[in-house]
Amino acid sequence: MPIDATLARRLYLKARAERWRVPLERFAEALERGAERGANLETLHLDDLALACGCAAGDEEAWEHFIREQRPTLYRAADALDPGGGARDLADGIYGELFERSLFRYFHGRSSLATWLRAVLAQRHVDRLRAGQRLEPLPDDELAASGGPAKAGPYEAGPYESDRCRELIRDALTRAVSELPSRERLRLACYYAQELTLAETGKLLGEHEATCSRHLARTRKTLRGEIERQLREQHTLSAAEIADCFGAASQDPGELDLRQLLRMEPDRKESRVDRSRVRGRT
Amino acid sequence: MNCLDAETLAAWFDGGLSGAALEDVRSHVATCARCQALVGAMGRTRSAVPAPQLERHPRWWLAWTVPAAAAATALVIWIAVPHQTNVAVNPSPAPALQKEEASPQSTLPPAPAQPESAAPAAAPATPARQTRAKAEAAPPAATPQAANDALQQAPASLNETVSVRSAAAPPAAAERRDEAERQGAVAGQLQARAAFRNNLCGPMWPAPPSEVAAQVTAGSSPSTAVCWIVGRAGTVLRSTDRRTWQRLTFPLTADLTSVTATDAQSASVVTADGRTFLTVDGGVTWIQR
Repeated sequence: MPIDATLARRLYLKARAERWRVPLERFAEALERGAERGANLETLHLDDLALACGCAAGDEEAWEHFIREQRPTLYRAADALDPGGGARDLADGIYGELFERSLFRYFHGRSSLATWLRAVLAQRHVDRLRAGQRLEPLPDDELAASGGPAKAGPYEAGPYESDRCRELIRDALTRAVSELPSRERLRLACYYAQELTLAETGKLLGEHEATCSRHLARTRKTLRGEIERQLREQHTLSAAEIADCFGAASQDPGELDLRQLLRMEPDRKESRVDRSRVRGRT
Repeated sequence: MNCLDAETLAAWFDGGLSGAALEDVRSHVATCARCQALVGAMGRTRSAVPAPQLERHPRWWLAWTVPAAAAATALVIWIAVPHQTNVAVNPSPAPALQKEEASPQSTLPPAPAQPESAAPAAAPATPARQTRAKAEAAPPAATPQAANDALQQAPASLNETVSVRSAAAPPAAAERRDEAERQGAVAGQLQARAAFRNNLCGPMWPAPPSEVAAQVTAGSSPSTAVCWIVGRAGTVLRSTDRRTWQRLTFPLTADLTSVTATDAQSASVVTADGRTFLTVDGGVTWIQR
């Protein structure tokens, strides 16, 4: 996608790309790559794009500036991902690729360099974790089914009732979550499963954090109402039994994990609960 | 849609996506375990990014309002509280002044020329003292405008008394009043500066050590447990436990005017002549930028 020469020149000056001795043609090529990705050229992080172009072109001052400004960010991010230092090697790998200049061509200025570096690191960290998990043995089915030992608490339902309650609620919650609109699922996932702040969650969804908070409260209410409706209508539980079930689930949620439910992809939305068994007990 | 690549993920976090691309990303992440994990990982690395300067500037930029508001408050209090000196030397009290003389306060000795707000004297609750107590009990005025608002809340008779007294006071009383006003304002400014020094990191932080307290000029608290303070003659202090201050070595004796810390190890300071120095090892070494 060719960029108008006047526009490229204006953005070049705005980015002060001459500081890093970046040729106008090279900067225009970077702009074109950004435009191909759908970037709004007027809102690009031009300073960072110019710096990336300078580093990619081998300008020493640009590289020194990059090291001074961005390398601490990269290593702090690695330590935040794994306080034990396990992500430092990933940061070193990224740093090496940056030094060889090969990685800079993937930066298009749609974000700041710092955010992009965090994202590259986060991507490699998550992929390594997921690859590791694939190699781990599956948990023992019986242990998983039992949900582990029940915790002590005021709810005095017997083990049978507690297990049944958890299954009923898990089943109902799974269905309720799967029926949520995509946007509400994303909000729940960001805030509860990924533990972003309200402000971060709101930013990703394009809404104010107060709005985000209100939506979360509304979604929680919706889920609760939907679960109660299913327990009442499909399993003919009384109000007292429903309250007992919620009590049992809150004491010991067992496999009831909202993270897992939110991570389920559409083709896996069906409940993992053996519904025939639940019906039989009902 | 495929899973997010790092560039798209970063663009999403920095608000660089819009329209259909943004909606595609949102609907994909809503149902993708890997991309949700990426979002979570990005969230965990938030501490790696220094707080934007935009959030720090207002604090420093508005710092002048602290002494200004305190000085305004001191002035308001001084004006609002009748000074017996004026009453004693006034040869022909005006009607409003006679009304004041009839109150128990008129028998008190002349008010000392020191800030009223610093050590309020125990006295019967006259309307004027009630007003001062009200002014002292009220939340501190954040701006001169707020101080003016507080003044306007004073009883009408009090305002009348002040205006009458100002017009009728002889030159000697006026000089004493000016002196008291000047001292009151100066004391208010000093108090405000002390409060400013003690609150560079926030209200719950300990004050800097007394030997350097007068020299500090700026602070930066990147987290609840860490705060950096800088001051004149290369003064750099750091606290990582909210209880004690550690004095760090700075290579120059230049006056430092601002500090921006990102964590307990990393901070940048600016000297009065505009040079910026950076440390990433808790102040052991400093690099000029």
